[in-house]
Amino acid sequence: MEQGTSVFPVRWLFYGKDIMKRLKRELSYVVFLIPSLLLFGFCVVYPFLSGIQLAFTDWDGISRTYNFVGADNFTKLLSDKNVLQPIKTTAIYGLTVTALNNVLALFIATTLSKKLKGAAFFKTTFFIPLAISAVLASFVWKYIDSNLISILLGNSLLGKRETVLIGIILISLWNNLGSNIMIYMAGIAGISRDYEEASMIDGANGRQRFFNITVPMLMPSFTICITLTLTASLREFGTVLAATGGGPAGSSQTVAILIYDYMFKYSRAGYAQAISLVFMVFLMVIGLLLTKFFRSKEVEA
Amino acid sequence: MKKKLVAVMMASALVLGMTACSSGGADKGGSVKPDEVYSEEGEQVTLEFINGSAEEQYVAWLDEVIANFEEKHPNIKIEIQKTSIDSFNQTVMTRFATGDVPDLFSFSANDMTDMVPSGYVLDLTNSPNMENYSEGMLDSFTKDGKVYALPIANDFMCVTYNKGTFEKAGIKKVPETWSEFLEVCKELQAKDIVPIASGFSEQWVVNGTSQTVYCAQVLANEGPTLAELVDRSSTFAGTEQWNGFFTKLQEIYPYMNKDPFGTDQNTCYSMLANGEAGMILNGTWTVTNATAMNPDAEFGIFALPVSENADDNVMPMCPPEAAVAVAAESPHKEEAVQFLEYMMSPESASLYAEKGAGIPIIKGVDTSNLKGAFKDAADIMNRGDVKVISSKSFPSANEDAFINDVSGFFLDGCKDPEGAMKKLDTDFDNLVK
Repeated sequence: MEQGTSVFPVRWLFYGKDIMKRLKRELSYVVFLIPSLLLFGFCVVYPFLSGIQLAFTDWDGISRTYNFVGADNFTKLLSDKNVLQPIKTTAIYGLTVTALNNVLALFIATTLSKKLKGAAFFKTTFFIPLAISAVLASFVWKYIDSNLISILLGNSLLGKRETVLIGIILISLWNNLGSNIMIYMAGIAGISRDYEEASMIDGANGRQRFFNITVPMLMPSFTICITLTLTASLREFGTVLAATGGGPAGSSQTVAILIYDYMFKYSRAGYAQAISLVFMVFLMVIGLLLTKFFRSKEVEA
Repeated sequence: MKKKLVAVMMASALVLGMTACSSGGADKGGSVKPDEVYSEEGEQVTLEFINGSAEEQYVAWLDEVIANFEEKHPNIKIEIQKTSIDSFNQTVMTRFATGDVPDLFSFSANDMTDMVPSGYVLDLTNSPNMENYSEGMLDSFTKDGKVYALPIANDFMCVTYNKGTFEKAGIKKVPETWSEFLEVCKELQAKDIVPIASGFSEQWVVNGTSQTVYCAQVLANEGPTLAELVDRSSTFAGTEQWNGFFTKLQEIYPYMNKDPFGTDQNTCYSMLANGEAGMILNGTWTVTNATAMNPDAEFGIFALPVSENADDNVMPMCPPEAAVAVAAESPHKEEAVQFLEYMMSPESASLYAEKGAGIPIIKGVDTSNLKGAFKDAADIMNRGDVKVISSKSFPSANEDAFINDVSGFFLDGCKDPEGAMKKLDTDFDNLVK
């Protein structure tokens, strides 16, 4: 008889309690986040935001005063012929490195995932270059290039406009292959043996198993590897700077090197900041699009 | 034994310093007077000196100068910050931009345009050291009648050759005309010696070799100044001297090492030092670097003989580019200036020459102790076979365009001087906009 009237407050109370509980629980998550959020904000977000305004100034990179020039830097950028060659170089470099790096890494990862003699040795061998900095790797390879490759091929790779990118791509692959191999190997290890056994019973050959089981199941790894490799190689800087400094005759100048030149060599920091802002937005869009594309292809295991 | 030697050297340096001061007019120099030491009441001061030069002899000289100075001024300590040339500008710029200023720093003529207007550099016009420089030598560090930095030595662009290699190839005398120069190249090549070693994989070397040619061919030859090319009141195409520059490159290119763009300059230094190559077309610093590769080799220098008339081929030389400056915001200005004045004193300059670090430009230096290339240079100076020219360096944006275009010219086999000059004009036009 009193049910009708008594039920509501009880349910309401029940929900109220739940909300408090949930709030409390979520608040405790946030508390754990605070240290890293502070650090991230201080080291990444704040410098980034405080740097944006420079793109609208004529700052020379050293003086303590500068003038605001509105969108001048951006309109200049649209008509600047000097940026065309670096954009072309960067695009070729980025796409080639991404393709080669991932194909090679996937190939090596699948090979190493099979029960091989000495797999641990090879794993280490492929991984060690990752521990070497891009600058050191470039110096080592520069030496190899001018003292070995130049004798074998009759010309050094880094000394000719036609081959300089091949040389830099080689250095970059050697230097960075390890991380993608690791990610792919982890992905492969995560695929249940059941699928493979089932397909073997159904009579699938190695190729079919690779393309119909391994590749779809590896989609999350592809998302990470391809996106990371592409964005990292598009903003390649250290390897190029140490190997050629953008030469010969500007043929290996990437967008990152161009920004560096404007910033530090030509004392046009405002313009450099404008280029890097546009470049960053471009990289973000590419990164987001790629992630979205690959996420849509991912299958639930 | 070693300690004893150092002690003797220090003592003699000290005595030298005293005699230098007590002998007449130099008294105004003041800074080296030992009685000015006020260590007792003076607090301990440490000066930071950002040094951009890593050349071995220079560093050795600097260490000794500092030791001598610290002995005379026990309350002052000089701390050297070494920075590589490549990142030197950024390091110094960043330090100034953030307000963390050094007391003394290596200063280049290029810094006059950005650092001086920003008010970062101390005015040294009233220093007694001004008397030690000849007319015009400080022009590159002077703005509105005020001097901002003091140089010790001068570098210039010349041909550096290995005397032993020339002898072995049967070349008796240094070439004095352009055709003699090409003849020497041919003779070296016939003996399987690379006539001209070029490490073009480093971009500054492309610039250095070009400068050697254009200082003599264009700047010492009534050609347009580089500033006129930069502000576009003059052009490359249609200028006879620049046409000559590219034809000269064309003529010497066959005498360079194979694959110059895949070779670095250190390899070239060692080729020159070990007799695999005969010459390097670059600055006077080539001597120091090549000597480091083979201390037994003897080198020489001569002006690139661009003319067929031997008398016209004198050494083109700009006012010095490198110097040392004091930061206007240094908390120990007085002590910093004191050290700078000692560093640039005739006493230190003599030591500089003896160490083979370079060619001092300070008056009162005894050059009779010089040998090899330093002797050649002293002889050139004494004969007066020198022509002071306008600045040999483009502003950095133009310089990069110039390096790229000259590199392109070389990589295309030096076939098209006309095209190269047109390309340079277009690129320089774009930089003005």
